[in-house]
Amino acid sequence: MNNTLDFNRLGKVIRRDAMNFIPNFGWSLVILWAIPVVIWLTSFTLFISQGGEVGGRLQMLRFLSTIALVVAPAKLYKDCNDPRKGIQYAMMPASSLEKFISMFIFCVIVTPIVYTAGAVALDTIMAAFPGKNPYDGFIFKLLFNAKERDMEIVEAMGSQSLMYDGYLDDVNNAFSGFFIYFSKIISIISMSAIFMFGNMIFKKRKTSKMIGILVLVFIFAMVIFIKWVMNHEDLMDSIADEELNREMLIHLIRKANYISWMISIIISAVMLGLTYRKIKTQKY
Amino acid sequence: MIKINSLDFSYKNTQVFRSIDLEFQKGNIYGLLGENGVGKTTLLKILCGLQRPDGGICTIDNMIPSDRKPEFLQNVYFLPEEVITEDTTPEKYIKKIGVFYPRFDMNLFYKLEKELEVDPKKKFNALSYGQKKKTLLACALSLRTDYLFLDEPTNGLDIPSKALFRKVIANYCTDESTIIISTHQVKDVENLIDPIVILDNDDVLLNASFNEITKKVYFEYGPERLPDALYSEMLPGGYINVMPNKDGIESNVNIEALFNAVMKNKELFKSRKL
Repeated sequence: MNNTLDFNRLGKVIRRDAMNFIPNFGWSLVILWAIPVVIWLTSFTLFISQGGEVGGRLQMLRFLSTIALVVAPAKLYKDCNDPRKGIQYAMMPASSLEKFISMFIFCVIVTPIVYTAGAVALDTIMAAFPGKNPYDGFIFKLLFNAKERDMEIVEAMGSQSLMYDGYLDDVNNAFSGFFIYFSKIISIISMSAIFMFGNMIFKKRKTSKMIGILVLVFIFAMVIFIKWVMNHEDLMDSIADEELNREMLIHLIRKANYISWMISIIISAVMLGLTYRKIKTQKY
Repeated sequence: MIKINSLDFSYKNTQVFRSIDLEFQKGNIYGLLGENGVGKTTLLKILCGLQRPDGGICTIDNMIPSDRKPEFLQNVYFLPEEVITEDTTPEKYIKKIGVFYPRFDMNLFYKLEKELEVDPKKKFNALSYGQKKKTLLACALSLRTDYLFLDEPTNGLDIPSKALFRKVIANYCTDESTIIISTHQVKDVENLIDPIVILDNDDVLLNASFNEITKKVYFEYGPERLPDALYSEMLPGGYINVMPNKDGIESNVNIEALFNAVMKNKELFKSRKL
């Protein structure tokens, strides 16, 4: 018997987790799906015709799908490290790797797909509603066009006004569609991985504790960064004095993104590795 | 077969087991007895891999429980004292977990549910505590694992249910299966368990079959407390005396009296000088 990975057994674990998906996570998904519907209904009944452009809705979809990703591990696998309720999970005759793969599939793949599919379907129904509809345009048309989608979001945020004309084109040209998708996938994995690990180390208030830790880490990183900037005033002054060079900017954006990807990949690998180890060695 | 050699275990600063040795043979229903807090549940958790020993070796059929390998897990089932159920029916619940156990028998589950007088189509939250407990027992037995560890299985059962419990457990045990029942309610498992393991703080006081026990001590019911008795207790109509058996006197084991005799003469039983 293969005690590490057996696809038949993995299928059984996935089936079991799939059976628990709706009972454990269904209501949370319904609430997250209902938020844009409530906003739309409010706008519709109050005859507010503005604020329903595609960019703004995409931004909201991104925010809500991030919430779905963040809460998914604690909703789907809340009991797996509980000293009493977790016994059944620990004693399920499957390897730690199979349990981990199934957890990864449901937190990282199934959750964003199910949430996004549902949200886009609802958005399409709302946008197609006849009459003085506050929703203008369809999100699904931009769903598989990463560059255009990101442009819409940046425009909706109004951040292009901070830069020179053609800045968005430059940013867009800095990356291929593949890299934009790659970047999204990495950010989904790293976000999920952090909260999957949080779900394994905390027994109660798993998501809020992990958010608290992330806030502390962010504050700590900012303090370090500000200290570093203050210690390198000469370098900062010389950068500020230079005329903004478009090529140099694209180069900098590329570099910053590559560094951010590297950090995300390292965080994902470490968090997923620790989650697997915790599944394997958790005591009850 | 379960083998434990020089096993050490502690929770932070509290030593639970100090270099204990134990063996559990196949085909037996073991009674695991001991006072509160001596580590009965902990021992069961170590046996099914939910806790990792600090030192020593624990193996079940040459597999290390704490590795929690599928080959090991599909042959072991632990029924904890606390009843924890899902928001579903027993029927759906057992179908969900049964697929992982190669010898799971759905018909046996239905049969046991009928014997234990529980409706498997009713949701768990519509069942009483005792019914839930009986259902989980039916689930555990229908998985047909070789090793079954039951922690206080009769807690919360009414008197007829306790009799049913003894009946289904006795029918379930085969030459290949090993059942360990941890309990305080020795009367509930009388005539069911044999051998008996008695745990004390960080040690094992007794691990013996009834046959071995009655060779060393005998149980005498009489009108008075005997001076040589290892333990005496007043009962309605007289006394029960646990006596050293030097003349090969035959008697039936009274588990409660035996337990008290062992607790009163720990060193004597541990040194096996009886």
